Amino acid sequence: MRRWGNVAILGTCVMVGAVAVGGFRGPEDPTQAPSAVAPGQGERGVWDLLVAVPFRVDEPFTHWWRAERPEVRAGHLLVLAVDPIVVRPRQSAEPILFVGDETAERVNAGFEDGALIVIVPALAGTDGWPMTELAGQPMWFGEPGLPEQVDAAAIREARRLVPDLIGFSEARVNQALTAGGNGLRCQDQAQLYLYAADWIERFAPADRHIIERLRLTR
Amino acid sequence: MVRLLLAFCLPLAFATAPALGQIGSAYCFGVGCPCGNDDSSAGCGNFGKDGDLGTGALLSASGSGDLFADDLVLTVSGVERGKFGLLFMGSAQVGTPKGDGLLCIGPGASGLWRFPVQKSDPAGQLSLVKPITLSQGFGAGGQILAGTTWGFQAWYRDPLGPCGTGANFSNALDVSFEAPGTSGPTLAQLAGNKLPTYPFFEYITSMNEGARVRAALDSTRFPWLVGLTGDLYVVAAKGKSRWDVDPQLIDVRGAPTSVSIQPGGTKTNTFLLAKGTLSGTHGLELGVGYDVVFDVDADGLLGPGDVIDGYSAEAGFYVVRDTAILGPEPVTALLYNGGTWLKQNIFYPTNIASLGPRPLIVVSHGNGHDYRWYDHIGEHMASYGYVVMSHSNNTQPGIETASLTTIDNTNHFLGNLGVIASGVLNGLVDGTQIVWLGHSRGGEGIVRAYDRLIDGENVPTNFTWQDIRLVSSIAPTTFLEKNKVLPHEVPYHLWIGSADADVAGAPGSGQEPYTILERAEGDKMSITIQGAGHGVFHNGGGNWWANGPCLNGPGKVHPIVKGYFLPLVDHVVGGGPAGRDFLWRHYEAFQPISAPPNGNGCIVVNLELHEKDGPAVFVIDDFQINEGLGLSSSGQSVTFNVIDASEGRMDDKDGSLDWDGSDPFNGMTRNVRTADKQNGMVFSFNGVPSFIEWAVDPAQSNLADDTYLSFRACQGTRHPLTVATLQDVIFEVSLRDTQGVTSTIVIDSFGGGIAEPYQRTGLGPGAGWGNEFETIRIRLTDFLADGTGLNLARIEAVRFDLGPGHGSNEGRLGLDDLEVIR
Repeated sequence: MRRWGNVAILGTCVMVGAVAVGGFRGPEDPTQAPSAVAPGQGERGVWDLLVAVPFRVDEPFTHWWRAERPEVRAGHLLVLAVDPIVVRPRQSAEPILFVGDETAERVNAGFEDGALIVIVPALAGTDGWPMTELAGQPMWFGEPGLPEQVDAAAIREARRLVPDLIGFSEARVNQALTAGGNGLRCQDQAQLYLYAADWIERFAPADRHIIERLRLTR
Repeated sequence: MVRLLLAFCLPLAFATAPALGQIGSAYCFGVGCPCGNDDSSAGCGNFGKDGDLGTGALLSASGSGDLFADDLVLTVSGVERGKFGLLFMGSAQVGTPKGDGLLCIGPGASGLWRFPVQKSDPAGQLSLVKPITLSQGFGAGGQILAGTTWGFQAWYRDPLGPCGTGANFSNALDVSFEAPGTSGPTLAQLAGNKLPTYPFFEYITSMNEGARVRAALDSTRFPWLVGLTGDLYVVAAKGKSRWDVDPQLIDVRGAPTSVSIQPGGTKTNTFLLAKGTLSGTHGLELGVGYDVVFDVDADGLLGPGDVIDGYSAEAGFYVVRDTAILGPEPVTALLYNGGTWLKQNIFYPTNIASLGPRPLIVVSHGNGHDYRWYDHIGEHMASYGYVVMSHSNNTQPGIETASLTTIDNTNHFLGNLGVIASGVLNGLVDGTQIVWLGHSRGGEGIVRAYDRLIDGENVPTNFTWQDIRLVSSIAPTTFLEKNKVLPHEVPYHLWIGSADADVAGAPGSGQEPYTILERAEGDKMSITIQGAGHGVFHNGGGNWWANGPCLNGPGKVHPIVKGYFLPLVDHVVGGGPAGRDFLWRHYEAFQPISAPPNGNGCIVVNLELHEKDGPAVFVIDDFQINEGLGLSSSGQSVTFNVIDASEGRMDDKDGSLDWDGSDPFNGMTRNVRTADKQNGMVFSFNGVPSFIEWAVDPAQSNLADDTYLSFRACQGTRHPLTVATLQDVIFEVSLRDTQGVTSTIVIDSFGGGIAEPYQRTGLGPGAGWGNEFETIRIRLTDFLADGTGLNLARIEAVRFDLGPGHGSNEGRLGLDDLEVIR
């Protein structure tokens, strides 16, 4: 049984801003697509947006999940309810997770709990926080491949193949942002991962080995 | 009294016996040459290698005149490269001008005998090995016998020579030949296993602790020993240098065995040395070396006339410990965090300070795996003195990212030994002896990482590509092109589970891991375990990712992996000879002691070993050039009456494993990209005697100084002739010499035959997964057992006979890499 209730995270990043921690409740059974899923979204493996947290890092890190390997200064940490079958780890090519015009980094495996914690890079504004609006950004699993081989053109092509996706509504995104609480200002990627580990523990506890890896600080 | 005297004198005599070096008496140098082209230090002046008309060709010799050892090597230097020449022997005579030189050897009373024509090598040299064996093919009077002296000289083409005749001679050389063991002990293989069928005995390097050890003295190869009674010793291995100063025989069993050599060949002269009582456990060693000595004169000393197996750096044989169980060293394990993707699980022998610098094994896990799931390998190898570091691996983005993670972790580890584990490893990790072991995406990643180092794409600060001594991939993916995932010349090893449901190796899937093995340009080895899934190679539990019958879980697969990985690393990285047998001898005949036994139908392990192409390998046919069934890659004729034969790219073309007759290479998964081009041969035989025969290049026909005949073969999956009898396929292998003498060995004499494919379903009707090659090696001297009379120095053909009367009644086989191992 899932324990997706109110979330109070104590990460090592500094929580910035005044976003209220709301009363969001996710689906009790993540294998059932929630009714709030945007048109077409469910068929593409991403069933719901559960949590969203904007972040910024003082030390940029490399986004290995696309061919250009951009440096990441800001973005969103998301918790997605996903089709467990789609995210089951395999050695052969896996469906690539897209969020808008970005590839997302999958921090955990998620196939046992149906919840995926991901990092989505975004352009940083002058204040250092992500400029991208999540509302209306389609989130979907594309064709199997290696994310490191995906460039901007490939992302455009992947997007062209799913014209029906319109992303999550503003209300749904706001719910997720509320669930995520304050934005995170982190020193580096390692701190961000520590924060992500808390979400994994909450939503995908079966990925214990990943939580332990992320929390190894010695 | 006599024995006392001998005991006093022999050590001195033996110790001062001439080492194998220059022998013979040179004469007839270039004085009084036909056109003033004198050279008093060689033959008459020639154009030769140096273009200096004032210098000639020099004939020299090394080795000995021992009739059994037959280790005399005659070398002619100073010939223009690529020119024909030959050596000949006869009686000495006064040099008379002939061609541009002097003819110094005549027929005398014994005749004039010519050795095979050859072409000078790039260094301008001609050479002759095994002249005694070669002489057995000469007519009456031409055989080199004990107590005779023969004069040798070389004739060669020299079209630009100074006198314009186009030919010249070297100086001459006399060599005296002596009975075996006259000036030192006779070196021979003695230790091994008794066999139920011909050749009735196998001479081997390694045997398991607890196994019976025997020795055989084939009376047809040692005729001078027949009727003699002597003592058979098992001695702690000494090596040549120690034997030379300490010839005393001390039997580790307490006392030698008195034996008499009888006529009748091997069967009547096989002796039990130990009923499993010899120890194979000593320190960190893989095995314990022993020498076997037949002390002919029973004087308790190794000396002239005696026979020894082991008078070299390599012991006569090794008793090896159980390589599948933990070694003697206590192990310390710890987790270390060097950064985001620098999490490491480290294993090392707790007492490493007393061991000195130890080799490093780096483990790169696969996608969805964890760096702490390889503790079974870490604990195992560290208990034998290795340092093991298993690192978190960034595999999800892809192979390039994974490869960088491997490089970063290796570099970080070596650069932070002063910090890791509070510095306990500082100065105790040998960064020049590194093994990379990777699983699935990590298995491809380590090959990509090696390629990055070779190509200079990455230049780590703490190690170089030369420090990587072995790359071993477990079920690697094959995402990237050949030019990026290329093992180059590093020894490459591959693990495959035939039941793998993730990297399934299915034709047409794009994930065909045998391809990486085929790309390797150095020594390459594979171990295929039927019934093993993808997830049973690690220790993380969970799904086995397995599909097929007779599934084997970690409890069975891990002992196999540990039991083979230790000797693999010991041999390839450490150079230990005891591990070599593990890499090619059939699992049915030799396996890690506590690995699950073959025979219950569910444990099938197939091994491949292929040495790097080069001087150590004479290729008869590897199908890479001269495409066409009638011509071997060595340019010689191939004749056959097997049916449905094809030669070409070993690639299943239609992605279905169903046999429909349209895809001769059905089930082959050795090429995954266009750039991959690994060829082979397939053929069938069906209820009638069938054969394939390869002519041997006459210039390469002297196999007397070589070790093995080697090839690899597989059964063709789901072919009606495979399905007809689902069991090992066996057939006969023969050598024929130029006199028509033939010697034949059935391939299962030493263990199993060619195993049937794993009976997994999918990809069309029927059962049978991809074709699994396994290497067959036959020691060349086995073809001489029991006096076949075969002349190994003059082999003209290698032949396979199949079908009724020769082994299996029918079958469909793939074949590749028919070679002679030097």
